[in-house]
Amino acid sequence: MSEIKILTQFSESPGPRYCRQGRWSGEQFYHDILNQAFAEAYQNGDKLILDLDGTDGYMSSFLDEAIGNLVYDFGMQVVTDNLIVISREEPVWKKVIDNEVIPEWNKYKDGGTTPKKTSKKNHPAWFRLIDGELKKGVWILSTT
Amino acid sequence: MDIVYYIMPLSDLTDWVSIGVDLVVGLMIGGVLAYFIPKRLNDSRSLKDFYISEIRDVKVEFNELCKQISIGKMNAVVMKETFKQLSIRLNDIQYSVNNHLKLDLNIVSFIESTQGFITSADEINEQYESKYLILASATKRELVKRQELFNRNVLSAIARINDVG
Repeated sequence: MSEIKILTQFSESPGPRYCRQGRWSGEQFYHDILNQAFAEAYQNGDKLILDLDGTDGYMSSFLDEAIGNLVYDFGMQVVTDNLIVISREEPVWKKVIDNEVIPEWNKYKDGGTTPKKTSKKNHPAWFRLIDGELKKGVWILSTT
Repeated sequence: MDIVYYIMPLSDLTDWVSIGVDLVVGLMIGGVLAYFIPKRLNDSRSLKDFYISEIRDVKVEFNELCKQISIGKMNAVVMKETFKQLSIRLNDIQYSVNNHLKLDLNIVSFIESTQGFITSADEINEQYESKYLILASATKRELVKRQELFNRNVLSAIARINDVG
């Protein structure tokens, strides 16, 4: 199993929802780390462990944006089957992700809502699962 | 001088044994009533007082946090960190209370839902790097409502802890 520990691989102080709102945002985490790691794990038939512990806390928007984009690009079922969230210090975040973020973003996706991208430059090409196949592209342009 | 021997009849012996047993049992019951029960009651009272004081501390800190957020004296980073600390502390206390006093309190969920609500508010994310957060009126009103709900539930939790026999 592969693992991402936010504290050591991203930031000890995760930030707001969007890149334009501040450093270490959920959007940035998704594009710098989570998308690539999840795609690799999926390709290898692995599950991905996402460890939230050890940071100075979370804005729920950070988690919503990061995990929500994952649902948008890979689909609810694939995310549910392949992502293991660990949050021992604040168990509430695991519940929020499982019971709110994943189902709500699935609805957004079905309803045709597109995630916002707010980095100054477009994000480098990222993975998306289309008809069971991983494809890479700049699927959404940044609008700051 | 002649010594007079008295041979105790069997029925007298059983009476004496019975008196002896009554005495021992009486002393044991007396000991339990005089020492163990008050000690146990005292231990239980001290434990309840400890839990109540811990919960009260979290209540004070939570109210202070809400106040600082409402009056624009708090930044986003300190806010999320304080929420985390309060949530961890109350989770531990609640676990211990429920475990030792056989209760099913759930007051930490009120902090968690406030944490979820406030850290997902658009204006808080927009001001993430600001020195002080300024809340929209609707967010402020909702925060006050959640604060009141938490306080009410803390009082009811304290009453339930006190009621434990």
